[in-house]
Amino acid sequence: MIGMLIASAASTAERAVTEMAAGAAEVAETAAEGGAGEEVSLPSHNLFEIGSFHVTNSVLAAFLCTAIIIVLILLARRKAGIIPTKMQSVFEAIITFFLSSLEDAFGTKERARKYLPLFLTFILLIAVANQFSIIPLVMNIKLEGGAALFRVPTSDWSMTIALAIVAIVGSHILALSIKPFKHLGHYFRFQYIWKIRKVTDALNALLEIFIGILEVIGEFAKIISLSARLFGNIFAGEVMVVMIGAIASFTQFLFPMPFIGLGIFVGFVQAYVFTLLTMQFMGASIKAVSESHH
Amino acid sequence: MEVESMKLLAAALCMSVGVITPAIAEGMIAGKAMEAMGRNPEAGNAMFPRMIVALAIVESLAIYCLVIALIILFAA
Repeated sequence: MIGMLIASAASTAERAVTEMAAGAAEVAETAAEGGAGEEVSLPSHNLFEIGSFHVTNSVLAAFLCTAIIIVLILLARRKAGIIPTKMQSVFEAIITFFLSSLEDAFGTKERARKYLPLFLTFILLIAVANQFSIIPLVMNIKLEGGAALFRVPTSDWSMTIALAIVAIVGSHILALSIKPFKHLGHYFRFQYIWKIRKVTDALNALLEIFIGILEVIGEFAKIISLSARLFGNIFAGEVMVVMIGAIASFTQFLFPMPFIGLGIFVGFVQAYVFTLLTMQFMGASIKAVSESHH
Repeated sequence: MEVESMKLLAAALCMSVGVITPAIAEGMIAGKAMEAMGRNPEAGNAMFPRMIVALAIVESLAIYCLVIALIILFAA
């Protein structure tokens, strides 16, 4: 049920962002073509619609990333045993590293074990999605009209906003499922009104209510900062490669290589930063509502 | 001035002014990390990934300016 709530929140937000971005699609296409001759557009191209859900080229690429991750894990499991194979030890290293980080952020080992799959999904999906442009021939498949069939998933702001919404709304839903009123009491601090004895207490109560409203704004700032960080890094990498290729016909060879290398490094770093910040936010809100058991 | 030239000017100004402070901050982080790694070379391998993460978080401020500049250029 919690999964359904998170999924419906993410889909409404994604629809809102795609509608906003699709309204600017005309301006984006003409501006991009007038600029460099190469196509780089902020909203992603709509392929087809299932009901009211738009399947864009970045959604298709995200499905392909999921398929790649499943194939990788099945390959790693094939010869898994007590003596680890190379792929198995890579995944074991990732899992142990995240278990220890989660234990630091969440407090107890049971909570770390319970919420491990969510963070492993974040890191694997975002890392594979950021490296999507390395896959050799896939990005060059074009439909009639010039739009590409696949697009790096995280270079679409809709995808990163959906990921950030899952992270932040998920942390709120988890904290609400543990202790609703204590969690809401951080944001709507009306409990100080009943403790007024003197005039200075009234001023204190007003200040606390104002700080509570600032905390609510801070939550929205977390969503925007998480999504804009990932989107900006990856989209800027794509734009840079396209612009370097558009300077002259010979700059498409060898010249983009340093920028593509930087893009690979930035992709891994940003995947880890996103997961680390989500761990800190979720851990902070869960620690704030549960008493320490030790 | 027409809207198109104002857009280009706004995007250029946004980026150039916006990365001044993150650049200074990243230089300070890297400088302190170099100093600490020089004092304690064996701990350098543990310090380097943490420095990269700190750089990525500070760099996100410059990325916010970049996102605004991209919105100005590409989406009205």
